Amino acid sequence: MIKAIITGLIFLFTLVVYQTTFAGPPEDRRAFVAYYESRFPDIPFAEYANGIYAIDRDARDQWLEIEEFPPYEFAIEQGADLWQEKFPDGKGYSDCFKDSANGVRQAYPKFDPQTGEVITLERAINLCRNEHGQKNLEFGNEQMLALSAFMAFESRGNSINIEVPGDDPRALAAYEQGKQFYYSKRGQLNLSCADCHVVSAGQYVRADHLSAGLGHPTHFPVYRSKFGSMLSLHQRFEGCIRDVRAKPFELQSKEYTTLEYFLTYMSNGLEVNGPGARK
Amino acid sequence: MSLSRNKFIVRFVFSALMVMQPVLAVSSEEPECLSPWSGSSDDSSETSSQYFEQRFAEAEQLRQLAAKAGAEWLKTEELLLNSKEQAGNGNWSTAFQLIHKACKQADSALQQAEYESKAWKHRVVD
Repeated sequence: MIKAIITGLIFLFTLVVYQTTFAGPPEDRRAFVAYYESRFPDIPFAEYANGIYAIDRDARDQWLEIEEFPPYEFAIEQGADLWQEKFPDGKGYSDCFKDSANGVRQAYPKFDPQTGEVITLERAINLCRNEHGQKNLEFGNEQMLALSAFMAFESRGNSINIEVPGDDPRALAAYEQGKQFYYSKRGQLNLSCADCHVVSAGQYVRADHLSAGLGHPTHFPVYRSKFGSMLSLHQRFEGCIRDVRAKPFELQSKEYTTLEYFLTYMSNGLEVNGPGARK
Repeated sequence: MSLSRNKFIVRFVFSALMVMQPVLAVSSEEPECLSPWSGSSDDSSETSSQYFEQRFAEAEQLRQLAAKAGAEWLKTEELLLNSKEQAGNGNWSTAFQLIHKACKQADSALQQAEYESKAWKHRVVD
């Protein structure tokens, strides 16, 4: 009897140690969501897709007014035109993105088991172009932003569904790298992504509220009124890194790509509602 | 018997110190660029220039290490470039102040990266 109790206790202890030491992506996500549920009990899960406007009620009213005449419409139209264009071999983007009729944004970034790399939507667009003999579009240029805006628009309403294949250590390593980046302090201000968007979410930074990390990637690319142009998620990362007075990384660098992988996985289940409009 | 045992201990400690010497030397050595420049603007241009090049190289090396660790701070490179410009104009005092700042930044960035390589785990939401 005593032997059975001791065995049971050892098993429980091992389980607890395993859970706390080796929490995998699903456990991480559950804890991440639970944190915001407890922090903002009045905000329904689906609302986090609206970013800061889930938290800041005053800003939300202004945003809803802006959404009546969306400033990103021109990007969607330009993206739709580019999407329709055919490459010299007669093929188009829809030949690369097989499920494009139903929207594809929700599945990116995606782990590619052949190369062992994480592929963002922007990189997938360039891979498609290369496959059909076309040069890369620069990351962050107008055409790239227009195409990704159109693809996000076509995917609206689809639930984000990022996969981290548990049987591939390279996928887990990429996820862990993104997670480490998210929680590591950097720059002269010694701040991590989590310091602002987890610990201080909802607090003021100057005259604005800090948004929650949950739901961050759902609405990109966004039209930023501040710049009068569209902005990709990696360009937003770049801005944050600069804000903490660290030297930014290149767009689509491994650092930003794995960060996007981790962050988008955390938002699994939320609806794609890009492109968005932000101050 | 007791004497030979003492000899053995002394030899052992001495050997251990000899082996540890390079490690101790590296850890106690601090780049010169971390200490403020004590020269004056009256120093000859040649002497200042020599010191400047040496300290610039040290600070640049630290900056590159910080960059390799993905931890470089925003203004370090700019500080170094500005120091070069000031040195070119013969403003040694300002040039050395800028190098000192850049050096401190790069060193702090490296310390930050080393600390964060473990500390981040304690911040994960669980």
